[in-house]
Amino acid sequence: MQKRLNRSTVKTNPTEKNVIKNREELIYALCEAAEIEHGLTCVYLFTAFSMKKTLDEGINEIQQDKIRNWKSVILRVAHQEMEHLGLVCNLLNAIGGPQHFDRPNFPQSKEYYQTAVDLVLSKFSLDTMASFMAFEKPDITPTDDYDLNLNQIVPVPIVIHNGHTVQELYEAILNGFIYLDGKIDLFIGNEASQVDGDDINVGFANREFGITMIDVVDLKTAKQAICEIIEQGEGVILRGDAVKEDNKNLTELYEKFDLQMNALNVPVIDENHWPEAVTQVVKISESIVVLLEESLQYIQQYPKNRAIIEQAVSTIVPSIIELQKIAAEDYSPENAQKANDLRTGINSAALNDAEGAILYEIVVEKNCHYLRFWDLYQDLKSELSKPNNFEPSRNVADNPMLRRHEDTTNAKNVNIVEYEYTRKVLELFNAGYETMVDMLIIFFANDGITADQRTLFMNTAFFPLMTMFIRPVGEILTMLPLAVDDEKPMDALRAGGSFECYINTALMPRTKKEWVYLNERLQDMAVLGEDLQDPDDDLRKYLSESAFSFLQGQMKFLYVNLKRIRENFSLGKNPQS
Amino acid sequence: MKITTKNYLLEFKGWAQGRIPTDPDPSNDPRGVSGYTFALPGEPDLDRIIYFQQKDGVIRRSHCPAVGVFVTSGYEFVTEGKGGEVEFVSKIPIVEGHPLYNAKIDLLGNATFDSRNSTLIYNGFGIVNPFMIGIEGNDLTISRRFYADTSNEQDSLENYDISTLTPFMMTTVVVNSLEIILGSDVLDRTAFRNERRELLQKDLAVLREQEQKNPNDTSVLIQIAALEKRIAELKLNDPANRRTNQIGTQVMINYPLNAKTASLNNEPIAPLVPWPTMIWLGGWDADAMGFCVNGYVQVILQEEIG
Repeated sequence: MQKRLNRSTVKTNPTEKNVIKNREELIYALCEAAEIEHGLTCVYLFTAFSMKKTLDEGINEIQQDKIRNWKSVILRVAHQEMEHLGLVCNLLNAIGGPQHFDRPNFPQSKEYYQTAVDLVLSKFSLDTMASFMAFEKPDITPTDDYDLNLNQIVPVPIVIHNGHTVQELYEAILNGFIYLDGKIDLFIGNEASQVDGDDINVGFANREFGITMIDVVDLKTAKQAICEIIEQGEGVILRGDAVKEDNKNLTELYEKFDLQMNALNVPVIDENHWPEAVTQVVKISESIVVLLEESLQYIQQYPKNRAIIEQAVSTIVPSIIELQKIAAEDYSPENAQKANDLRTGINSAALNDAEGAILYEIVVEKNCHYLRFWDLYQDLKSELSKPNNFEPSRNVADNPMLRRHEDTTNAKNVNIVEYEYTRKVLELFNAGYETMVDMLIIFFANDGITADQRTLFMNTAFFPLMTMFIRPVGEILTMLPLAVDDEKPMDALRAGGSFECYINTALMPRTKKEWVYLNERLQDMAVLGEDLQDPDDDLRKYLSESAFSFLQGQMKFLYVNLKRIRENFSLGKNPQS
Repeated sequence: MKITTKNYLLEFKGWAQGRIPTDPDPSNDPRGVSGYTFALPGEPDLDRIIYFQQKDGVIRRSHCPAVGVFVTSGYEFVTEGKGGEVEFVSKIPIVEGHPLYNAKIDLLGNATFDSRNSTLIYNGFGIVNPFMIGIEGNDLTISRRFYADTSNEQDSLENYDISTLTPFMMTTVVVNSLEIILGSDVLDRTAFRNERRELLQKDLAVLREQEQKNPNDTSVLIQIAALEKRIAELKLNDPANRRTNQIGTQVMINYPLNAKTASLNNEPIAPLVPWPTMIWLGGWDADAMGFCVNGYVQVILQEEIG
């Protein structure tokens, strides 16, 4: 039976040093959390949509099943990220904050949120899964190692050192709630605006979809909401309470390992630091090996994880020997490159393989996002090691966008979609995404709308827009070419759902007729859907016969459904008309 | 002028299959990903068709019941008269030997549960469309269809607006139905799924031995992958989990067979009145992607005499 964490044991230690000290900063931090949850949902969905589905995509039946199971893991996590976003909406509502569904466009570098990795749209691969693990990585012994500017009343971003995880941001938020409760009248939000499990009712008390909404009305419920997020994501409860007594030795060892891992990437391997930087990497890597070997004695619950650590050690040791040889040679760009590559390999073996095996032993909630991704990573790695050229994803370009946005002006690796039909489908996707988000803002603000209207927004934005629009169109886009390729059309790069943000239209001033804008938007989508229901014949060059036939069926089905969604919304928002 | 009315009032029971994706998967997902129903390795894509009879498209998994819905009892009776002056002319129970005893009850026209995740109507169970009942006995075949609006007979549900369709969405009669427990032989949902899982685990052990002998036998590997998936799903057996919970849900359909024309022994006829039906579905077995059916239909054939 799944062990549930005991929320009553949650303890925090807000200190005067680094704590959110006013409402503005708390709202700011919650908005940042909302952006990250929202962004991660999109990133996970993009990757899930890039996965192959049919046997004519060069996979066999067993691989098809594997891919399906991996995809279900990623989609499940994405659903829970949406739940987290909903809980953040409730936290914001509780303290009188605005709903925050804005976020920067993709791609964003890791500097944007001070995270460990960039926030990018990329197809399903080992590298992508490694970056997902980095976002969800638990911090089992967190410290208050973040900076706040304590001398001003306007907010500043929380800067957490060494690349922050989502958990650390929530730690700071929880500390802010604890610090401010009682010092100011913190919970000033309208309690009726809280969105609970009765408001989101997608069947089976929402359990099947990983949705547990919590009314946030006081400190206790704020803690519950934050713990729900952390428990699902990183699998720990705050302030290291996840560490059990019998795991103390391994936890201490892990802390040392974590420090070494952070140190591994610090030395700059270039001409100016040759060969000291390489020697430094060797020393750190040797320490990592010692710690990993030592950790083996504590891996009791999951013996298979011992093999993973042993495998990681056997990958790292030859790399160390190779690095020692290189350090003895003179500097050359080739040697520097080799040394950097070896360090990357050591980093990957230690971080993506061994670290997960250790954390599996320590983390209480084994069903958390991090460990699910780590499991998936191990399974994928094992499949890719077989000699059958297995490629689980479609040939999808990174960050396939309609255009460069103001907030991504300098971003690398943006791929502008050029193929005309694909552009139109991507336009439709982004219009639908934007409309859905607008509806979610109204739904979660939950202010000034009737129960029937709230139900109408749920019956439009959740089912069907999420399941009958975002997902199928997102998957269709990964079949469609990014650009014209007359030479090798079947090998052409593909597009994907880019979740582009334009302007926030949901908060337009109240109008004489309700939500005319949303109705117009759905109408525009239906018209575009009608135009797109007969895909270009030219696309036959880029798709197998069965894929083209599937596309035709899907686009016709999409149009009929879009027309219906608009009609239902129009009737529902004003039943008398 | 008198009216002679020939009636066939039939009760039918049996086991049906619907290989459907379940939400939050899109309603036409071919394999099933994020829901709890799946096309397994070696199986064709989910076709979403509701089968009342064994035919191409039915995929019977190991240790799962066979598909087939048949007449179990009823009456053939004739009345004569009009208004308050109607009298029985004959009344014959449908028992062994009657042409309609054990007759096949079929759902014709590739029917599906249609709601498209709240696109058509706001209900997860949807509307069965087309709903056309076929009765096939010895020397007697009858069929007729239901339309949501008889003044506007449309094949596709999207041609009717939500208010026209909503009265016909399938409704949950009972969440924990004792009628289902008896009707489906699933006396305890959790035990039922555990029992199935244990049988599959034994099958898996046999396949594993075959794999040891011939590790590259693709057919064995596919069967193993399929069994592993079924076993993993059956392990999710918390009574609150919908895989387990839904076994006890009883869902009601009572659409009248009201199309302007029907078919009697493959000849078109124009019935004067709708034919009532009442069917419950239940015992939804996610592993088999099947459910039990218990229903009634009254075929009413009227003639004016004199």
